[in-house]
Amino acid sequence: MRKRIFRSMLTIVVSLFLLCYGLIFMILYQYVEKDSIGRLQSEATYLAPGIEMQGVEYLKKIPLSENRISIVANNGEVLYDSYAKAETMENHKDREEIMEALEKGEGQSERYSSTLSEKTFYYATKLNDGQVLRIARTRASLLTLMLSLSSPMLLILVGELALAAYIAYKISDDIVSPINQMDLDRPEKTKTYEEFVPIIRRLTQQKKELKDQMDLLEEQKIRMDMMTENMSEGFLMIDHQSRVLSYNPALLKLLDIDFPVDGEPALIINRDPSFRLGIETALSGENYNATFSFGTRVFQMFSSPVYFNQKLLGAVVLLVDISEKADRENLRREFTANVSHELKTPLTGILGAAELLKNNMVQPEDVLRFYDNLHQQAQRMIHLIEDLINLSRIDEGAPASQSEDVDLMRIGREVIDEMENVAEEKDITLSLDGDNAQITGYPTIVKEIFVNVIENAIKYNTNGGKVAVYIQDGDHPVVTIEDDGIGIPIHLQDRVFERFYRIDASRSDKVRGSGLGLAIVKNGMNLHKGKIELSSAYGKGTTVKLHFPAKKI
Amino acid sequence: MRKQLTKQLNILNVDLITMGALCEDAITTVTKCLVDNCREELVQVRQFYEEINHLEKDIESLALKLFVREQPVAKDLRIISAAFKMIGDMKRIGTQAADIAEIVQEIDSSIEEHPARFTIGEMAEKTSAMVVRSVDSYVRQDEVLANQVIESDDLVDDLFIKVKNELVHTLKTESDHEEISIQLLMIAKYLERIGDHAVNIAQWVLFALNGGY
Repeated sequence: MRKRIFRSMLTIVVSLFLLCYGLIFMILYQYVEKDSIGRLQSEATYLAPGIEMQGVEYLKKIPLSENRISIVANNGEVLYDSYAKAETMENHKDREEIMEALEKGEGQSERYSSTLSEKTFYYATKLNDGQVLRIARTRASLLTLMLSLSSPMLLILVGELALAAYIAYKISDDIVSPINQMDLDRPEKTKTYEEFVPIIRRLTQQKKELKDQMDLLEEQKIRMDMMTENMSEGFLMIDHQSRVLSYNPALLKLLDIDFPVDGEPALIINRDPSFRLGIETALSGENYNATFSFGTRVFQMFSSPVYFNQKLLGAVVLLVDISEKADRENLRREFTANVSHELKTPLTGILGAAELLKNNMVQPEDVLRFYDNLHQQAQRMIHLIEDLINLSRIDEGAPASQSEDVDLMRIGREVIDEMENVAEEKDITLSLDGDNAQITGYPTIVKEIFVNVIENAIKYNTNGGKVAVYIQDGDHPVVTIEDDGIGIPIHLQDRVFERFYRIDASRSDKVRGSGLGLAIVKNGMNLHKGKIELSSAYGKGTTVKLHFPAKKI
Repeated sequence: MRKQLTKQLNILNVDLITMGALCEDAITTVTKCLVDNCREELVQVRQFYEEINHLEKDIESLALKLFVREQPVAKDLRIISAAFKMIGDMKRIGTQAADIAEIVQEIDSSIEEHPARFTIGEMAEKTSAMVVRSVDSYVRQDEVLANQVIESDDLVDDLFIKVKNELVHTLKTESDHEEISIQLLMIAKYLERIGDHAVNIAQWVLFALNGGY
């Protein structure tokens, strides 16, 4: 901009200068020329009468101008010349001005000197005696004149150029500064040339559009980040060279990564063969899905290639922690095996006894003992099946009956009364104390929970022990069942709620049980959205706290 | 920024990690089978060994190509030279793991009664942990981990001496374990060598990191 203003300004100045220079000079020169001729003419007019009267002698008397004066006879012979001797000069008959004067009475002409640096004007007039008076004046030619003028002119030109440069600078500054001062961040606030208003309007609009788009992108990014950040599955995105592009915190947590992985090869994250194969498969353009284990955890890995415009850009990997699922799978398998085993044991006993009886191989005095055995085994099976039915009923969720108000104290009393006989066998003191507490729930299941916990407290107790039940009312009613029995070793305390889990086989023989009791308690409490707190010291006793949720109003 | 060099270095890195991972796979499989006796999985070790050899050739030619074409300097030079040396050690680990696998396949189940089996099992576990950690130290460029690997070599060396003494004792006192004792001695020696190679890898990691040699 500034440069262009400068350049056009200078062009204007220089061309204007040249034009003026030329024009002025031409006019001036023409005037000067006309003037020269006029002066020669007047001089001739003034000299002519003198010469006519006195001849050449007149010229010698009067003071002469610097003009060259010559008198030429009508035959062309030079009679007098003020610059040179007349006799040495050649015949002037052919000279244009002489010829003209002889013919018309007066003549004029102009001639350049041989070097072109001078120009000579001639004026000739015919005297009365037929002779011709010629006056010549030599002056510098146009070119010489121009050259002689060039140095002051150059000075003027330089001056003009400097002035022009200064003005151009000023003008361009004036033009440009409002543009420079335009606040591009807030174009709408800027006051500038009228001509710029549409541009600024457009700029404002585009700025707004840009901001909207950026906001949208940002929002999408945040949404995406929120999604990946809050999911429990590990998420990983890699480029086609298997470098890490993006991942979520869950991935780092699941795979115990505490070092930077950005931009590093995906193998830095894990080097398990399945994981490696997953990355490789996805980057070769195919989906992959497999499980692999890391430490104690088991992961399901899904990896898929990412295409954009038919071009493989990278891959996305999703890791799902299926440790729990794998554990559950194991538990279920164990459960089935346990159920079959538990059912088979009494049946074998029954079958054996029945066969012996059938074949009459039992001594008459033993028959009663066999019947007793049969009865016991059948009862054990019934118990087991009852427990299983209870458990599966709780497993299936809320029973068909509506939940209702349950008085914990009343149920506690019922259970204690029922257990009295069993406790007496082992000389165990049962006690019930506390507040009246109400919850919302299913009375049969609550009773089942109480029965199982108290039964365990009695079963796994020493002779002459104590079992204390304490009910505490409050926002969250708590039932505490405390015994001073044999306790549970600390490392097994998590496992006692598993189905069929029994602390040790040798004890199981002495104490009858299906191994389902605490599983029923756990599921029952889950159904009531309650919590179980188990604390036990091996050999000193166990305390079970049942936290029930508040009663619904 | 030398784009080509950066790209090739990434490939070198990925290949090297893969090779390291294969070494881990080989040694952990061997360790597991030494303790648990699993025939089928031992066959895999041979495959790992072949893959390791294959990768070694790839990495070697890539590293040479980088030397010639890119003329690396400073850290790049250290990384490539370290890689060049590391693949040698990794290859040896692969070979020795395959050798152990071969011996384990020959050994019959009487290993379960051999008095030295616990010590050699422990030695195998320590060695395989060393290999895993040396690869980890490379993957994470972790100086501390590399130094730990170098230190833990003494442990494996001590265990080797312990195994050796136990085997000598067995040979002297019991007459029915001769062959297996010899085989276990060979396994122990291989394990000890694998430990040394893990140390070498860790040293090359340190070299690549800070130029110390």
